[in-house]
Amino acid sequence: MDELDLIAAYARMLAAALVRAGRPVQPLVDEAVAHLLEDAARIARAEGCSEVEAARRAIARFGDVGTVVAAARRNGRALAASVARITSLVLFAVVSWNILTTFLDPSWRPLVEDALWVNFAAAVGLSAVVVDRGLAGGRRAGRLLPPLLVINGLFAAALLIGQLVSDTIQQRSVGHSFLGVAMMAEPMWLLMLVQSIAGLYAHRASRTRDGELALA
Amino acid sequence: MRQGQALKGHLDAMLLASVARGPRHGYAIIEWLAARSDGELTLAAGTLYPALHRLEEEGLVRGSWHEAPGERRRRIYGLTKKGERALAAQKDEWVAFSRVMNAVLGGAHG
Repeated sequence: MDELDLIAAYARMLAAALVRAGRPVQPLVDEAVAHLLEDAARIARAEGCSEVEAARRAIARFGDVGTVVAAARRNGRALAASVARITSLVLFAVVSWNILTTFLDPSWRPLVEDALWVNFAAAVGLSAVVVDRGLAGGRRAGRLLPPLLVINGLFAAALLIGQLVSDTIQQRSVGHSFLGVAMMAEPMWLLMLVQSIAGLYAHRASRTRDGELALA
Repeated sequence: MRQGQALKGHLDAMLLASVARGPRHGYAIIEWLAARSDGELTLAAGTLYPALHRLEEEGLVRGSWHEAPGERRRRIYGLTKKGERALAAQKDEWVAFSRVMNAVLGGAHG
């Protein structure tokens, strides 16, 4: 077995462990192999040991497969931040599409309700920007983020509860189950609620992650 | 143990800082951190690369493969605009935090 075999065997173990962990395989394995080849060559040059021994030391220095996979696991904060960002964009797309299709309708006539929808689209778009900047560490957006998401979440929860209560009263009278009624809930309010919860979780995790102290 | 404590919560900021003055590959990042810390920080490559990939997923760094003649193939990482903003925010937080800690610990014998 030469040094390339040793590194290839490590790469295979790493790839299998990443697959089991549900993480992308090739980018990390390619980079690990490139690093190990370079490190082994440097160790062999610096210490004058055999290439096989240098590869063994390079692999030991790189870290065991379990440690690498643990570091590659997606943490809750990153996942929540992605959910908050994606729901923000989906919400903006849904609201914009509703407005666009309304305005393109040949029978459209200006209504007060349409102005409210345009305002709502602007608010949703602004929220998407604040969520993106705030979760990326922007200072101003970071300060705006918690109150914005709390208001957003309370608004969505109130609308959802109001809708569920009124739908339940109407639908139960014609024999629908509560689950059936709940499934009819407006997806937009649900998305807003998910956006708020995920965004707040990601923001809080970024402040307290790894034991950081919150400053007054 | 000391390294583990030093790295705790600050790995992202250190990685962003390491590519702030120009793009670097993983090996160079490890060497830069060791040199800047007088050898106190020896980051394991197995921790570094997953962290760099996570930062890339978050849009804070951008990586691309390079192969110079006579050299091995390497992935070079550079800071994005979003990464610059995140680094500035983390620096501010660190300055505020260290000011508080200095004030508290500095008065410990007083």
